[in-house]
Amino acid sequence: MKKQIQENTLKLLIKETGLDEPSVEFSQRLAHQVVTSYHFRRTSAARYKKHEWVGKVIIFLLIALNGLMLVKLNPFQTQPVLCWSIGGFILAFCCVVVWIKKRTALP
Amino acid sequence: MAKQEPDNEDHYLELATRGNREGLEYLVGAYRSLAYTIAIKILCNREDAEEVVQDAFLKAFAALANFNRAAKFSTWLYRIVYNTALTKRSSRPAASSALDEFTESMLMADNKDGLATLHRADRKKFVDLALSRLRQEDRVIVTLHYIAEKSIAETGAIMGLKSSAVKMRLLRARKQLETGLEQLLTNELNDIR
Repeated sequence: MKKQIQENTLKLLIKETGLDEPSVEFSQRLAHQVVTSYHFRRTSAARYKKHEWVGKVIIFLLIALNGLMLVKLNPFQTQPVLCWSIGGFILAFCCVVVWIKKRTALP
Repeated sequence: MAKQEPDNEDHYLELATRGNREGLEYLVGAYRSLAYTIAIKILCNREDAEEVVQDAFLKAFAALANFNRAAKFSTWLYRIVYNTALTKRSSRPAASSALDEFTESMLMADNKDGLATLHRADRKKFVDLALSRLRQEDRVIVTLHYIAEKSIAETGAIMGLKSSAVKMRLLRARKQLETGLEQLLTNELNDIR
């Protein structure tokens, strides 16, 4: 025991004794929670997927009508500076949203 | 810890992605101990470690469909556990450092019970004590490299460090562990005498 602890011995010692086991209750609870939440997500995702197209149509109609309004009003001619400012703001906002999404995404 | 066969892992991962209960339970069972070990090495507290493991597993399995298999599932999962544990630790650093000291003092108190031989449980106490004296990052590196048997590159990927930094810290941790264990075992021998 007094001998110098060699690297291999150290590796074996750590491998053999370094693992911490969670309690049985926790392990069972964890497995149950993972399975339950996974199934809940899958079933709710499947349920909402059926109605996804309705939302897409509504968003498309809203964007199309807004675009039509912009074309009719033609604000670029009357207030070009204001239009560029709003455009710049929207672009910057989108960039920030993308950056935050990337930062908070799982590795 | 049961070593994972890559084919086996892929098979169960495929099952889990399809929502198969057996696949999900296999993955949880295969990685929970190591995930818990990583969390406890960072937080030094059982309750916090359990909370972190639970959070990390729920996050990982919620995003399982997005797992692109560029890395091993275990590497991906341990990275989530590591990041979740760091976030948890940063939310209450004072409590965690106090618990570090608490753990060490409890272990020291336990070790004074004049032991004739060093059984497995006793060896674990010494290893835990020696590990608790390392820096938090070094402790995780030792755990990932020696216990989880992750390569230097994988350890670096989990912790967001370069391979050279992992190598350097591993060398430093090993030296500290050797010194620490030698010192602890000498003290123990003196106590027995």
